Amino acid sequence: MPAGWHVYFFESRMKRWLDKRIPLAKTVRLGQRNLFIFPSRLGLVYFVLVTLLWIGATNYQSSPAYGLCFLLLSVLWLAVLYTFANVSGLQIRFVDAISVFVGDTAHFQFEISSTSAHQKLDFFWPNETIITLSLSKNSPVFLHLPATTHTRGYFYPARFCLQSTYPLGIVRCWTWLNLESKTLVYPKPIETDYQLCSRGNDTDNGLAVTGNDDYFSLKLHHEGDLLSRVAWKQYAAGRGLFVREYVDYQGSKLWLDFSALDDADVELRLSKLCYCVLQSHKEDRPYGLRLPSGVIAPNTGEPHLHNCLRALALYPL
Amino acid sequence: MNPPTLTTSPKTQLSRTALLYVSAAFISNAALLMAYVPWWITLVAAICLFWRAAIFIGLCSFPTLWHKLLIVAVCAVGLFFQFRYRVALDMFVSMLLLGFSLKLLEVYHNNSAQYLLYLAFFVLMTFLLFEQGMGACILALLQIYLLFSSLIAINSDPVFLMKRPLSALKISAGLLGFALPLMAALFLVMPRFSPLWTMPLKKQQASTGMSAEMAPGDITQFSRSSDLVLRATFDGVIPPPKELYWRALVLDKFDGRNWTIDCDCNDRWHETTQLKHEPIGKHKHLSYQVMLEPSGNKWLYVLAQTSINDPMILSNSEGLFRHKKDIYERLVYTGAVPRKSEKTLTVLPSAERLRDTQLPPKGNPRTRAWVAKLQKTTKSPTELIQKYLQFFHESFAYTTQPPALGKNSIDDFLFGTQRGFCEHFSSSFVFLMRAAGIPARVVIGYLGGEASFNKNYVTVRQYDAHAWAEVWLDDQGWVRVDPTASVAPERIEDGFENLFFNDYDPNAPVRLWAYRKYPLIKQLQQQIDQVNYFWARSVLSYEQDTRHNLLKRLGLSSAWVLAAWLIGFFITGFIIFLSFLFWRNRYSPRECLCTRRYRKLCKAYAQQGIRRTPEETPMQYAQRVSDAKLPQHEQFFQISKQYSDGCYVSTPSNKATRKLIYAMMHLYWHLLFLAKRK
Repeated sequence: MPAGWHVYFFESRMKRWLDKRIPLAKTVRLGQRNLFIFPSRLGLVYFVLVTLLWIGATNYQSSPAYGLCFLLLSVLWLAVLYTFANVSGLQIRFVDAISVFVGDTAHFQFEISSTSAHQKLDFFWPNETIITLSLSKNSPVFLHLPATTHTRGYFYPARFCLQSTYPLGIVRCWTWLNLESKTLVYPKPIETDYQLCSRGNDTDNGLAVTGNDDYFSLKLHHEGDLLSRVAWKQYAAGRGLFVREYVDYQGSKLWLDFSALDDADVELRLSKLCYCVLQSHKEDRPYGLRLPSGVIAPNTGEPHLHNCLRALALYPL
Repeated sequence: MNPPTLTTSPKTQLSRTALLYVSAAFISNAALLMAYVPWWITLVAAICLFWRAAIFIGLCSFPTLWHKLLIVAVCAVGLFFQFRYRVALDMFVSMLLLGFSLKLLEVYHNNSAQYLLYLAFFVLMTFLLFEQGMGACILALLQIYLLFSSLIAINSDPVFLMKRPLSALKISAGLLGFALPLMAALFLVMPRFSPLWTMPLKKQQASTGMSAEMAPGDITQFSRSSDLVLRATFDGVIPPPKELYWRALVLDKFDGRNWTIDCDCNDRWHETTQLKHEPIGKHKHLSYQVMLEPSGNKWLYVLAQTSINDPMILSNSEGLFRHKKDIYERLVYTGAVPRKSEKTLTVLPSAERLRDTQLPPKGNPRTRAWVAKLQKTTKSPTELIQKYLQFFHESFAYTTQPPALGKNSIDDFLFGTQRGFCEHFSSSFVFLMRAAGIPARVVIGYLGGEASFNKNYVTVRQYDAHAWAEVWLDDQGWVRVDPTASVAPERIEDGFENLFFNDYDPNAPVRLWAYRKYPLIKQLQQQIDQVNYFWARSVLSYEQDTRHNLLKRLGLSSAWVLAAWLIGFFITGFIIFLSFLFWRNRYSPRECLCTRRYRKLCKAYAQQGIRRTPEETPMQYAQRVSDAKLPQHEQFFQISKQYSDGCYVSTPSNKATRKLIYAMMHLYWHLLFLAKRK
């Protein structure tokens, strides 16, 4: 939505003010420095109710009705303190976030601890799912806060909101927290053919790289062997649990090359490469990555996969 | 950064426990108002409740739009036939209760439950308009407690609430515990305003039934009601009941059967604030305060020769007072009477003389003849009065069930039946006086009143209703004459209550009042009444003036000073609460009590010369302490071992932890003691 200059002006003013008030931190402890409090929408309705009761009491000059009206007013005032107490004293720390692909939801893990009990705390990023949780005394809770990712590279989430209207729902206490948190977002994998991105293969032993089911021999299954290589056919036939050995491909090194792709869009190329990396990892064949920004030698395994994905994610724009 | 949208919690479904809370609050709220609405509205409320319960169990579903429209249409028709075009509070309450009941059918989300509870507060307020007694207020307070518990229940974590369903009650008790003193403060100091518009509580439903005319010939039944009329507090000793004649109306027109008010034009009434008032002195005057129950009429009950200075009260030349509006709510007014009867030696205007000697031209010939005969043998009006009273005393009897009288009612009564009550005696006496050409008039009101248990106020009830006569004597002005006193002096002395019980109607519905002949019950009732009166005087009649006086006494008369106090009060409360929060969170959450005690102990050893370095483990430090042979090092080593095991090997039981903390503290104090002695 195109916003007017004034919206932009106030937004940036507010952002600057917030950055000064609640600066970026590793851990934050909630108190009167960083909490805001105001009646909620239901609280405003409650205030209207009190006003109506007051008019009724005035009209009939009824002392008990005045009493009821003043009692509700005192409760409104107390609700401010109760709601504030429900949020204050919380300590929040960023723990970790697992890397995801563009478009997926990243879950940021925060640890929330307090010496007292807290109920019904809502956590959310603007326009994201709200996570509500409660804490009992002295037992930290891990919060997984979802955020949708849009671009590859490091994702630094915006401020997230923590709010609560407990216990009466008439007062809302909230804060916008900025914790040192980030996660790496990999390019979105887009399905493609190996052939297209593997020009300039190292074909020392002359074997064409064709992804098929041919395998050299069966080996007895040991704990730790990849599930994807279990020979399920043989297992189903009742011959025992074996794993397939692709001996003939061990030597064949697959080079995934950025320049082999002829797409004009860099992002699309990266996405296709990402798909190939994942596919190769799944098939457990050694692969290397050749990017204009650097080369990763062919290898297999989880660390290698992450190295490659990382290189794709951080490829300069 | 996206704009920080003020997202509120999503609409969440009401938890089952919370729904039970809300239903309980609904039932009690509807039950409180049951007596003030037509029966079918209670039925609708019950149906709604059962429907919601059926939805809760899973027997049926929520009402569709068509269902709702149908129900609303039926209720609207019902309301129309019940109230037609009458707009009064009871109609409003019926509508409110219907809306409240129908809203229950819609309660599904937290939000709708919250709105239902808001509505419940409104319904509760209408209950407080109908009932103001202390009992009702206590009931209302319990209901408020339940309503706030429900509010907390719907805003609580459903899982937590399921585990501890009574937690909402506990939190709400704490909340109200804080709120009640605040409410009391607001009640005392908040300014009050005069009504913006008025709507009678109940139309045409005056509880006190004194009528503005009197037809002794027709009345054969005496009022048996024990309803409260007024309560009066005196600044000093309460006069004996036989002197407390509460005047309400003067009847001076007689048409041969009925006594009525002659001329009630408004121009005869004038503002009491514009009268010349003598300064009220404590020695010269006895002032009293009357709390009048709602009567639906304008007139006030006052003692003879009372002066009142009140902008809402009018008075006339007959010494009567009336309120500017019909009295539908309890009214408090203050009057003063001279301690010594003042003689107002004015001349009776001829118009009034004419009016107060007026009689119908014909009728009651026997009485007129008897008066004419008697007049010949008497010299002064005083003597004539004596003779009349003598006549009454000798041959009349008091009864509350007199026989009916014929066409010439005075003749029939004086020379026929000779049995009756105050109305008969007073009206025939005035007739006799007028027949002799002396101005006289009938006064109706109440006589006496029961002194309270503590003898600090009197209570006047319906059965104290009385009628007496006033006669104009040229040398004394208007003089009160009560012929009933000549017939049944015990009635005047003891009050009407005994008489009322001696011939108590066995067919009348049984009421607690009937047991007043037992002293214990009577005492109990008097004590309850005392509490109620205290409540009514101190709380219910707490108004702008009382507030002003209180604030003046506290030195808070100016609005600014008051505002400053109020703000100060709230800020102090806020600071106290914040310091409580600080106190609660004063330790970093990572450090348990045991660690804090251990650090303290380390500090104590640091004073002895060996400081623990940040990287040192408890065991390493203990070793160093042992090597230095500091006092109690064996004990410290032992404690450090336990502490280290507790942190890194296995979590000790609570009891073991407590024991360890105790040992640490013991050692700490010991070290401190040693250091002091050095």
